[in-house]
Amino acid sequence: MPSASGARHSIDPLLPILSFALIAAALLSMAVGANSIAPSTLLNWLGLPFGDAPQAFERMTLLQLRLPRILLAIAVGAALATAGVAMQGLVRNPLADPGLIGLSSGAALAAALVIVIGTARRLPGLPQNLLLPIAAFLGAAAAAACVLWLARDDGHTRVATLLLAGLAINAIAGAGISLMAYLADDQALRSITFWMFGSLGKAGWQEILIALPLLLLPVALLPRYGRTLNALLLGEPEAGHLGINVESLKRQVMTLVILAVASSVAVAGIIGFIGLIVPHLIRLHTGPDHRRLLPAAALAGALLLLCGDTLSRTILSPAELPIGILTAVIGGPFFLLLLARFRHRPELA
Amino acid sequence: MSLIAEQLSYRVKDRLLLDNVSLSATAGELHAVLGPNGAGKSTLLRLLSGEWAPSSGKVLFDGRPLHQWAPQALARVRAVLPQRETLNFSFTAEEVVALGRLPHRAQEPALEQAIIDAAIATAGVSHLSTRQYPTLSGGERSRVQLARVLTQIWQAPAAPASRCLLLDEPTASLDLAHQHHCLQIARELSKQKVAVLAVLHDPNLVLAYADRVTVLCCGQVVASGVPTEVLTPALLSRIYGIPVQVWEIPDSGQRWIQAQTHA
Repeated sequence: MPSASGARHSIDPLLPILSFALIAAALLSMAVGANSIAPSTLLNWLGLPFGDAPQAFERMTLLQLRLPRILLAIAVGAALATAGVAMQGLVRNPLADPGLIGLSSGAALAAALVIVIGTARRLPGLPQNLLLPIAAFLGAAAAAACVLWLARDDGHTRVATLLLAGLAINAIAGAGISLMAYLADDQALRSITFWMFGSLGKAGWQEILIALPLLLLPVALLPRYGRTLNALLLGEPEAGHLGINVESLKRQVMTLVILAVASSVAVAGIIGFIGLIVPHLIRLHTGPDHRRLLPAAALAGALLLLCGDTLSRTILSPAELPIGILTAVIGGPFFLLLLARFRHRPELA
Repeated sequence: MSLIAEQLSYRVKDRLLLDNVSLSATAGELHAVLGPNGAGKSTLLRLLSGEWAPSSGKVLFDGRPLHQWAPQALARVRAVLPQRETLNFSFTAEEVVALGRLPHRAQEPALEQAIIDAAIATAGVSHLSTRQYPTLSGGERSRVQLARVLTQIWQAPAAPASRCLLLDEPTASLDLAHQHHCLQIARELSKQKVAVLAVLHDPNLVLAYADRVTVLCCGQVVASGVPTEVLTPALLSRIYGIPVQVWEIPDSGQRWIQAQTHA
């Protein structure tokens, strides 16, 4: 490949390190929890000739509770981090987080509507676990269309306007969700609140099997746009002069970003800041080259969310701290820190 | 025959920014566009590059209207140096230059690297290649961007086609030495059958380097031709609105343009 320094260092050690850490974290996450499972039992369950065979309730815990949750954490974390990188490349600014600019809450509002209306009366046609991702996609797409249109100015995207528009969308969607919660019956209210905070523990195998391909499609496809996203960082006209069809690129990448964010929201609720923290940390190591950044951010996002979720379900055990609260507690100050760093660079805000 | 503008007009609401502008930049020549602020030079360059579509008239490159070119095929033979760049991500200068290879089919890595290295050396930015782009000064950035557009059209295409380089005020943020270095590179390229069109602000640089000049004023072509014939005191005084003198430098045949100010 005609890369500059990228081709010279052969393989980035970051990818193997992150993969190894992810596997280790997954194993750890299988073992710990309200019922901890001995490492040897876990290895036996995985088919290795060690330890005792797990008992029935242990098998049940592993297969029905922990494994689906771990897979979901990995897929959602990877999808949100990848979406963050792509979004930031698209608007050429490292502060553009899909959650901050309103995509997540747009998806959440649409999904809350489906929950409230859907539990009140059976919606005809599609079952709710299919309807939810579709509604979330449409909600996120509407929010994206709105903020991107507002922030557009003569071939550039103004990030200050983008963040302000996102603020407004978040406020509007927040009010809408509160209204839904107010109107909801008890059952709907529980599912709305549970999932407004974000949780990886609510989805069962069926929802997860629907969500996994939708989450992993953007993770798999977005790295193919690495080189063109690099060129886009030069500016939209400059990318055009390098032979890129900029409008078509933006449409395709934005569709994948919306798919990633909307599927995450549909299956796990609002989990903020992964798309902001992870790309920033990985960029410190790899630099802005999307060909290296995208796969590394996917792995790191999976790792971060998996560790976060494991922490959130063990720290108050047997109770559970919603993961969305945990990521917001870490992500909010992190965002302030980034703002402080970029304060003297007006071109970035 | 290379880049031809036929009766271009560009209108925004009811303001006519360009009025019936025709010019032709031929392979083997450095063609300068000169004019006072607001004359429409940058607008003209945006129409010539295809970034904006003209309200009327057309742009032909190698005999075909610009919009009929496949974007990638065009990008392999034509590069555009922007006047302002807005790259804020911390690529190294070399990574920025390497972006110029994007439209080309991947060749052997060593071959690609040789092109990048050669363009970096030509633009005189070898010492900057590992520096982070956002930490460079304005002039350094614009030289790195020059290296990037050089890599883009470094090789002559296999099929007999013209190459073209559009430069929008390439000397704007450069010091005296680098202004000359930049235009020497441009002239050198024009000798390798590249049609070079440069928007310039300094009539003396036009005299020193351009084979042909088109003078714009208020969106219209007011003169066009060989610089020494076109850039007369009368014309320059008229378009800039201040008295301008043209001096002959004895024994060298060179000319020097000077504004007559009474400061």
